Amino acid sequence: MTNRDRGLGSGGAFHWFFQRITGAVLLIALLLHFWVLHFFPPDHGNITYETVMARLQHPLWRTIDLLFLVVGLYHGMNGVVLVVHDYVRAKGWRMAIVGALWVATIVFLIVGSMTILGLAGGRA
Amino acid sequence: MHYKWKTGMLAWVLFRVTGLALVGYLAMHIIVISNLHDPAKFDETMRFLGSWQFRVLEIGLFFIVLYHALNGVRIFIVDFWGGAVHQAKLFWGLATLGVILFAAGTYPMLSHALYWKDVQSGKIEHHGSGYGGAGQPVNKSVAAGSTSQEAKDD
Repeated sequence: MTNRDRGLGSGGAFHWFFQRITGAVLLIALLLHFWVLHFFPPDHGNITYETVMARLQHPLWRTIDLLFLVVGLYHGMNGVVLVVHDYVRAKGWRMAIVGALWVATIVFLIVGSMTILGLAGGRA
Repeated sequence: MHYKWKTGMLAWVLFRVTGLALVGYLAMHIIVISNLHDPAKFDETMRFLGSWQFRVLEIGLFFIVLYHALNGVRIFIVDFWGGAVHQAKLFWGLATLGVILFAAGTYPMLSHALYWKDVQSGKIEHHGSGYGGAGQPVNKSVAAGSTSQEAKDD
């Protein structure tokens, strides 16, 4: 079975393998995420600044959320790259789109990290 | 064989569509959560997104996440443990698991949604963390940030 048969374009073995590893991590992280914030949230799911900040005071939660952010963004970006490789044949366009995806991913990584680490102001 | 090809094909198309939808959602999610730098704005946004209507839509999000996750598990098993031999059994086994998990997760999510529906229609009053919750006026002194309160269940 080649990568193209798997619908993975020419992403290569590294991306193919990492998409599965990050997927497995996200499975666990999302179970935790839904458990804490959707299934059994405090106060009938009334999510407020105070409740979120109280959770983010714990270094372990910050670590989990940062890991969740990095892995989620990588998995998402890599997924879009795999789709691009399947449908965009022209090399120039491919590189331009993948480059734009990288830039967007890094921007979202910075924005998300600043939120988790309380670096964007507020009362953290 | 024709039947197996059809289910596999549909599963694959839905996998891509749900994956792209989740990427879009992740981007929106990161932007919304970045409101945490402004407590009043964050609470205002969450009161809007915490309405019962959005909570029902969140069940749809749960469905999309669950589908993508379980099809991902299927691919993982096929690729790493040679599940291709039992392709159909694996597919329907995970589909059954998906229905069970969807029902199990929807129950608490729907009960929260129905609770806030009653709060929004004025049927019941919410006594929570002091913010008033979805559809209720903000408690100004708390929003201004005098004390740190942790949410308590009623």
